[in-house]
Amino acid sequence: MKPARFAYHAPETIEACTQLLAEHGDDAAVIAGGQSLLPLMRFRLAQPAHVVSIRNIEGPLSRIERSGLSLFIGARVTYSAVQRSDEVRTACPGLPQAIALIATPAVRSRGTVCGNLCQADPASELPAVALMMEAKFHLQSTGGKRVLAAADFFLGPYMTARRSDELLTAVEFPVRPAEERFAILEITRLRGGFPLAGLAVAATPGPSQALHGVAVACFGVNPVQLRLPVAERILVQQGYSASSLAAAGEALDAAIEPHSDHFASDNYRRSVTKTLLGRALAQALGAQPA
Amino acid sequence: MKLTNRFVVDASREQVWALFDELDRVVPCMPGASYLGCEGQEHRVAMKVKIGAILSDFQGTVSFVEKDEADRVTVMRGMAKDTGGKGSAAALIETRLSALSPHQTQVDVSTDLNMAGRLAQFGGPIVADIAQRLVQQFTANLHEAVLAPQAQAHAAAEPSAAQAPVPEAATAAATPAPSATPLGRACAETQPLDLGAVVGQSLWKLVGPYALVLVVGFAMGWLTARLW
Repeated sequence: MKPARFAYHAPETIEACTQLLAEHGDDAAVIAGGQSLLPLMRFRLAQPAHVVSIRNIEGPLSRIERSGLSLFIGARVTYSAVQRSDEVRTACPGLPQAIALIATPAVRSRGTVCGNLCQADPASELPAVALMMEAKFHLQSTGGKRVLAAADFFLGPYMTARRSDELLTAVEFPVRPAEERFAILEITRLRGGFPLAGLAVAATPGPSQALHGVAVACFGVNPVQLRLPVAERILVQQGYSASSLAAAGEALDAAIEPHSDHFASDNYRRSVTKTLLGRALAQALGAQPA
Repeated sequence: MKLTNRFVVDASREQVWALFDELDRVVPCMPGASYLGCEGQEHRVAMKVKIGAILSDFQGTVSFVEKDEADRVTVMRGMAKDTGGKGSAAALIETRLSALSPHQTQVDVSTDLNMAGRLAQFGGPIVADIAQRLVQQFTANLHEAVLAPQAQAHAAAEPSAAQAPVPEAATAAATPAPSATPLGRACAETQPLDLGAVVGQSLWKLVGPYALVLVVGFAMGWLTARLW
């Protein structure tokens, strides 16, 4: 199928873009790399009357910028640009690891990190990474700018706090401490496909089995990505051990509401996410639990 | 697919039962829904939903299949089609009322939902989640806009002469006027309520312009995966 008829706009400034969004509201869709929007349009699930492309907007939208303790990724920055970036590798090494799990090189050469976050597919990796790293979302409209915490940005499946007249201009990741270890694992039928369960963990190891800090988030097993503060607390308080892992797994189980479909049952998703927690921690810390 | 929802209403069982005769006031409490009128036994309704870039406009009818006064059970049949051709839905909705107290009623809704068309192919796991959000919003709106004013039935009612029909929830420009309030209901008089402002306010607060019955969900991800 081909997309339904639409009017195409390619403004050259952010202001022109937000003007268009203010004018057309719900009838407009923003397109960056199109890797989320175009499949929807091809199947006519999305039929925006106006497609507003940001391809001609130069400036911070197309940049990866490290500024102080933050890493800014502009709206036009592609997955592959983030994968290739030395700045990202030093400031936030988990991000390219997560991106490597997304789709194929072809998709990654066009799709954008910000686009992925706005799509907020419940099975996507990046919203989970954004949650656990406490990323900030920079939104701009004709009414002004605002910054939202990741926890306030993802409201539900395919639902974000971005209003239809707003453009996500950049996502800001705090620069990670050098001692932090990251791992992301997922179960998917096709390499690059949407996972049926996934989990990401960032842990800062201390002496012996102690953990100074832990961040855990899951994807694909809940209507929206979830950070798991109870599991995190258990691991920090009790250190990295088989018993704390079991307790954290129980906390994880209590928090998520996975669905059943013909790929996997909800029970399978529950079971496999607990396993992923153990494997991800082992991978991140380079050791098995005590 | 089967959906079950339960919510509690701060009103007597009789009051809630009476609302089944006032679908024109109740339907707009569902985010994105509007009541278009009735033709005989069929009530025409519309529901605009937006999930991400997907905007659907469902138009259809709801009719009563059963109305059991004794047990306070209703069964309604609803059928709707997306005007963009993305699909259709049919549902059999059973609603049971049980009195928790003289002023509190538990409403149990059991929905047998069948979806067809493109949206159905991608239909899936998030329907239940969305339905739950809608029910929560619906209950809040029902309290604010229908039941609370009803409780002040004898208070002075604001004139409501020319109330516009409820605006679609997906209309981005529906910023509620600060002076808009749910109207009091004069005794023995049915006023059309402008719930647009109330729905708009609480709706934007909760889920922005996204309101839904149908879904695209995980299977959209599945679909996209198939394209790689």
